Amino acid sequence: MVFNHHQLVIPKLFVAAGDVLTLTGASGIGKSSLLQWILGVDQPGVTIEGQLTLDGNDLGQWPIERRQIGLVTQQADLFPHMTVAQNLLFALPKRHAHRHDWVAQQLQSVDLAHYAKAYPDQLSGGQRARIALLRSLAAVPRSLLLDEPFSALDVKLRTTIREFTWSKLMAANMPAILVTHDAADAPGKVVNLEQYYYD
Amino acid sequence: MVGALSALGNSAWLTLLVTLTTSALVLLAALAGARGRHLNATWASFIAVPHVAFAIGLLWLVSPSGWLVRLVDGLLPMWQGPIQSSVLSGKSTFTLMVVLMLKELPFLLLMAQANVQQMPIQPWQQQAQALGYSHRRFWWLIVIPALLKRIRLPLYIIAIYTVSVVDIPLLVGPNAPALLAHEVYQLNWQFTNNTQGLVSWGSLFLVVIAAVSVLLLRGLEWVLQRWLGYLALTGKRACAAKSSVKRATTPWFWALLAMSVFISLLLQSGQQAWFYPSLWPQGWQWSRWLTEWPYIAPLLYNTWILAALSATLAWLSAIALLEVQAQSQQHTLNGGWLTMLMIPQLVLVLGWQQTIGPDNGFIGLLWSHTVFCFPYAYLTLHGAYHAYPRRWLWQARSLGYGPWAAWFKVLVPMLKRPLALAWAMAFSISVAQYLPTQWLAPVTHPTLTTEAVSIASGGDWRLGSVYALAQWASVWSVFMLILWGTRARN
Repeated sequence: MVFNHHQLVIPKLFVAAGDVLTLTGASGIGKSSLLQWILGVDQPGVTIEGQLTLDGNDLGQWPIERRQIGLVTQQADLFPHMTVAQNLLFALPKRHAHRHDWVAQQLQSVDLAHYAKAYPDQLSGGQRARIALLRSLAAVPRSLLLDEPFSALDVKLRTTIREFTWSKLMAANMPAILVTHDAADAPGKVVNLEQYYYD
Repeated sequence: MVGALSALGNSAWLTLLVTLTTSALVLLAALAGARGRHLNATWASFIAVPHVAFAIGLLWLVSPSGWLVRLVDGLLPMWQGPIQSSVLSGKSTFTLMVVLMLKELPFLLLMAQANVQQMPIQPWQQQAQALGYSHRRFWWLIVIPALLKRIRLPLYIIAIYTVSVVDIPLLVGPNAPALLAHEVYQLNWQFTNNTQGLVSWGSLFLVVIAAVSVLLLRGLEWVLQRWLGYLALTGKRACAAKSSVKRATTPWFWALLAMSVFISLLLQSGQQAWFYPSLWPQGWQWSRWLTEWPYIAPLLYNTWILAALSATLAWLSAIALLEVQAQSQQHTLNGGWLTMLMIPQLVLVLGWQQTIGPDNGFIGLLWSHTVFCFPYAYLTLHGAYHAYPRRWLWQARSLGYGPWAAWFKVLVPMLKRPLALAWAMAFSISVAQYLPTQWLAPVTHPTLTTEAVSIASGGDWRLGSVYALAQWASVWSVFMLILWGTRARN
């Protein structure tokens, strides 16, 4: 990865299904840029060369929507013009049978059944974080990217949401990459990108 | 020829004086008013009130025998009205400047406030107040120097508009000497070799005045920056005197003004006789509306079709440009796309008229309207479009939606109000266009604006008010519909 003032040369990284690879490093080093590259976002001013494979497929030329990689961010990014239920229905594939029942069941499982018709700005931070994860998983992704998903939460809530997230990921059995500043967030292998930094 | 050129020279000086005075006063009022209550979308609809309708209504309100004078006359029995003054007469340089300032100030205020919102005002203010500066002093010493740079472009747009505006001087401007654009406009109707030479000279003068105005306004900005910089270095923390300008830039002032102008137009359009010093008309003739309807209806149709098409073309172009810029992360306002506003309109339209000929059909007219609608659609939408976090689109695409589906299902619903307002703004700009319609399709495609100006400049204010109200209603109804249709949920 070549930025304006530095570059990152990252060796081969592998994440197995059900594992979470944690990336850490100083601010501005390129963690989020790396995640955006994996997601498939064009980034003017950043040159990234390398190979990205998922389940044996080279994703290099694939557009975002074909990659089937979910994204959960610090801001949760629930669509503000949609209710909680609509956010989940939006993510659920069309072919899915009993769409509304599925959504109701998912909300029930996280004690948010009463919030189906609420808008994101009527939820607390922890509730938004849970819905954001449910929404990403609703699309049945093959992998998940977590961009500092716990950093906007207070300490107590952070622990709860962290456990909730790992349990969901374990159940989904997919590879995930977590970007964080807090080593306590990491459930497994941690890679510090600063070791790959060159001026 | 020398005498005629000398007359053009006088008009040129007057134009420069009016442009600089108007622009400088609007700038100072906007700088003071930008820290007032936020002008929301409703105020964008005030900006969109057509200049012509505003001028016709305001003239009756403030003229020497107008409504305000009659009100004073009624309250003060000692008063001997109406006012006898050439400076304050209905058609004068003073009236022209008042109309232009009142019409341009909300535009610059809105632009200034949009820029203020992009600045980290709160942390700056905390720092300044922690150092002992009052809020007012913080505003002038910290915010204004940064704001001055950011509102350069809208200020220049106002100045260049003033240089080349024709319809307002026709209604309320002085006649001897007239403003240069007014003079050139009238010369261009006389198709002789001699006058065509003068038209060319006049156009050249307009370009020079526009350039000189921009340079002098840049100079004014430099002086203000130096002065404010000097004040900041003195370390003085005392409050400045309370500004009365701020009061004139609060939303209620504009609501009252718009309401007064509207009522003035309404009463004028229905009155049969209204002699001084009576506050209300002595007789009514509302049937004027009915008798005029057969003439208004086709004009309304022309105006709406032209405005809807040109606004849609301009709006789509602005969205396409903003999307391309957002994708390549070019977030600053690109002045190159506002070039058509940086050239005096009269010069540009004159060039088109001489290239494609007068009355050359609908396509030429549509083109000219679209060209002038585009920059306003771009300006109106720019802030909201670039402030929109692109990660919403990535989210939708990571959930399996293609770029178009993500754009329509996520970006459009979230930006529906700015998108709709940009279209409405472009629509209102087309409705208000006078010169392009008058020079490119006066016979085949007259509009409410061209007819309102023709009638009111001929002195028939009652009939002029009917057309001005129809013009106002065209724009107002679109804005109200859009504000209602895109209202936020509770």
